[in-house]
Amino acid sequence: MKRRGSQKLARIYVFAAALVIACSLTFVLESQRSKERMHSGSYLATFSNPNQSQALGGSWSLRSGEVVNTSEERGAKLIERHEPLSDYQVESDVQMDDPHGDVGLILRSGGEEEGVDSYRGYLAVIKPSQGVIEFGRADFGWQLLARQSFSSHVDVNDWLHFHVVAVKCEFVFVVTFADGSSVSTTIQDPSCIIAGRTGLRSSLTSARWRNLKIQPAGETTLRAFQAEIQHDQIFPESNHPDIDLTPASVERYMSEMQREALKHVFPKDIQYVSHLVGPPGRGPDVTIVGSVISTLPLIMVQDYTGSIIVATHGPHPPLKLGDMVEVHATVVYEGLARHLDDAKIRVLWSDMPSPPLAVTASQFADGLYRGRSITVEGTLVSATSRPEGYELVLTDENYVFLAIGPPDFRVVPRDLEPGSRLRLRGAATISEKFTKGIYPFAVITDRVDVVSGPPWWSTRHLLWLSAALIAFIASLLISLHLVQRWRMRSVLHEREQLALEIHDTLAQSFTGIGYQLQAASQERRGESYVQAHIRSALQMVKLSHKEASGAISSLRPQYRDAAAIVASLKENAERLSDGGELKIDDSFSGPNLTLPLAVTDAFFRIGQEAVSNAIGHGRCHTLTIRLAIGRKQSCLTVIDDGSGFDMEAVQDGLGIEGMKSRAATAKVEFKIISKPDEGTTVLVCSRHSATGGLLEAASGMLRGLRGRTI
Amino acid sequence: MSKPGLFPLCIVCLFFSAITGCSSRQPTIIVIPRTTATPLWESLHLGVAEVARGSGFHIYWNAPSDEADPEKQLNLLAAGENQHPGGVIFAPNDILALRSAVLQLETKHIPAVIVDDELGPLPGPLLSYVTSDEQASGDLAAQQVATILRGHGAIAIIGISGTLESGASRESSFESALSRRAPGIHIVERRFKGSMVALEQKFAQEVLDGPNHIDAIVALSDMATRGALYAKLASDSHASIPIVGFDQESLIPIQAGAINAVIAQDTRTIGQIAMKNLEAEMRGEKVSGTTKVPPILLTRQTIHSPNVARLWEFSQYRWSDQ
Repeated sequence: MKRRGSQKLARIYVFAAALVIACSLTFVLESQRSKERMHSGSYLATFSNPNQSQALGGSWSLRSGEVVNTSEERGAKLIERHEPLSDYQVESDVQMDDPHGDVGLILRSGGEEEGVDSYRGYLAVIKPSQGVIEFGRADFGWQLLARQSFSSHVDVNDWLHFHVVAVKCEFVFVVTFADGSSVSTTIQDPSCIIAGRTGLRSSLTSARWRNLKIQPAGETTLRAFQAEIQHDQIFPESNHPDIDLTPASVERYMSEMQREALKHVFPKDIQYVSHLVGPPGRGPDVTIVGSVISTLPLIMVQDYTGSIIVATHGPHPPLKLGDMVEVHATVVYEGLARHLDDAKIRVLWSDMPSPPLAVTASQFADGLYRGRSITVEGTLVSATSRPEGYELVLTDENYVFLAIGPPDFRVVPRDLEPGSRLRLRGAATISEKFTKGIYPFAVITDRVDVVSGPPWWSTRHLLWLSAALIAFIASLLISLHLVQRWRMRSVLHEREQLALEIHDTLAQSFTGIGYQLQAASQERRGESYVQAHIRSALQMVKLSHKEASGAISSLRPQYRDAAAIVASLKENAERLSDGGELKIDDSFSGPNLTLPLAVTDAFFRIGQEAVSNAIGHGRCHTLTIRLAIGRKQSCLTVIDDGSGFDMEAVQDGLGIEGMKSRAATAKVEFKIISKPDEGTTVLVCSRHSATGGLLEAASGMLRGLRGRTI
Repeated sequence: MSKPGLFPLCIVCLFFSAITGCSSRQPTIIVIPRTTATPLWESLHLGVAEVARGSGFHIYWNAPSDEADPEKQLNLLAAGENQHPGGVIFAPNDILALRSAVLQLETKHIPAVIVDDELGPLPGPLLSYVTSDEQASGDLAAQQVATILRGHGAIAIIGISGTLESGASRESSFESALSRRAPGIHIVERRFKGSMVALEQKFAQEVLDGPNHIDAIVALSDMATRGALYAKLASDSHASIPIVGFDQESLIPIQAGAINAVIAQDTRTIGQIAMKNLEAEMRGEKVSGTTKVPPILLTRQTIHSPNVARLWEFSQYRWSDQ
């Protein structure tokens, strides 16, 4: 019995180990497959689909095959959402507007967020103001890995060609200038980032990228590049390894600074927006200098005293947010409002737009912040794509307003869910040209951020929830119905069994009794024969009574727990001994569990039979009923000191066959030991199942925990 | 529970641990400076990271790309709070706009250390301040101006902050130190800070071209210092105007002699102390409510010293370990 149990446990362990190994193998194979996919090099991306790119900062768009960032924001990134690539090369032509900034390519990137170095990946970058190319690693912090200076005679304002190769933990970065000269650097990063996405990045300058290619690369490509380039890297002998303080470098940097300073000189004799006050009608010609806070369809310029709408009737240079412009125009006064008409615009330099003021829809509607660069939040009602951009209808604090914007990598109207909370950045206007006479104001938007998605109690979600609830209730009702049917079948089955039992015992007995009594009434052979029939009938009554008692007892197996089995067997023994001098010794050990129903029934029925035999046939003086609940198994033992029997002579009598049959049905082990004049021992054991063991252990632990507090 | 009963449980636990990658790791420390990727703030980053690395804490470091964007900083702080951080180190862009956010941290029982400013709420078990010693900074700047002008002349102050307590404190300490050290030097122009370098340049240019004769410019922030430098570089008539600036940015103009001196913040030490204080707050220990860290003088003579070089070591740090 014990060996069989061990085998079962061993089988469970083997199964668990096999499960773990199978899952681990699946994981390893999947990782390998993913790696192979990365190395297969079948990927080719060109940033040609705005929907597959993620803009983090900046103002990105696709124009005539060029990817353009028109913002001076530091660390603006555009990340291509491709599968992580490992060994590959990126090529691109790059042009920057302001050599004071820097521009580059990101490789093997992940975890990108808005922020200057807020990603985990490599950056190959050119910094014309310092006359260097750099390659480094960003981990939400910049680690310079290599730097190479280039000649001050090259033209950094023309298109440059970037080529970066990444193979294992080695990298080569080459920049080729318009005159055909080049600068390069090789890099080794021993604990490198092995795979990631590709991106474009610029800082403090607008920039353009074209002919972008992402292709597979291998050792051959890498070695070919390494053979062509120089390896010497410039790290000046100084306490500042990343700052070149040599006289030549300082002179170059300072001359770049001076150029930048001269570019940023404000023109003299300019007016301020807040000073433009006059009677209604056309006023004088004025010159203002300010930052562009809104571009087409509504150009607005803001200086540090206020903002004004600028109308042009002829061609003007392309404008972008943050451009510092000089506007020469005629002021037109319209009551309290004013605008600049027939404007001539000159871009002085590009800069970051002024941080907008955060206002609410009602604050704006009050007129306090009209014409300012603002951010305003609203709940999206609808989103529409138009050839010239997008149109959003939003609501906030009982105000319904419109947002209009140009095509933007960040805004895909069809992806915006009605009910979402959006934050808009831009300039607001009450001009009917934009409000269509319907909305109180419109926001000419340059940026849209989703603050939060629609609330879960939207109509669609409520419908889904209702459907799920209905399905759940229906399945519950079906389950209930099935349980009831099962219960009914069980009851009917039990009734059938009961009927058979009554037929086999009581009905047969009544027939026999009736037969004996009838025989007695018809007996003519004498009084002694009549008495014999009556004695037989009485004996049958006694036997029937006994059988009826047994049947009644067997119909009461509603034991709540294991201890109740012992109590019931003892009660049964007391009833059978009927006031005799039988000594009953009962005991129970172990946790008072609720044993499985089949085991409970087998224990009780076999115990009942054993008790009945011990008293009826063995005529014992002492009866021991013992139930032990162990960790691995539970055993019921019934021991008597009766007459016993010869087990070889009596093999299947005395109800032994019935006991064996019950034990086999309940899958419990049954053993009987007896010798003439040495009493009888009946042993029934049930081994706990593995899951039962775990559940029992868990419930035991819980009981233990509870026990400590109770 | 029996050993055989434990074994299958262990296997199941190990298996799920392996596939979910669950592990017990130290809580994340959210560090939000005013901006990132500048010498001033990356040195703070280095100070925080090197102490955190020793203690096994993970650092989340991010900030708006534009220093004048308190709203974005507020959003980052709110997002950080939702990650249930172990603590927060924070350099507010605007004391009034961000005071509530810091009080919110306290109500959520998140330990916080405010760096580079005194926000308003009193220090307590979950809040402390680590700042540059603005009294000493003002005194050091006054000393430099007095030396450059030999005790006599007229100066302009640009870049006065109206939104930061440290800016106001810096300005008042400089003025009082100057009147004490060099009564012969008069402040004839004062300008509030601009939101961008170009505006600072414009203000410096207006000051230089204005009716008052100016012998030197004192710029109270890194942006104002750059604005003053640009105004100087773009001007023929004021090409030799001395500039004393605040807050480290590029060393090259100092090496070139275009900026006479910069009163730098020892942000690396500030970062180290802030992280140590935060750890102590997380352990429930008492820390100093406000710690003031002495400034460092950057001149052509000092920029090669190890004390200055240590502020620029951030570009060699392996941030992947943070």
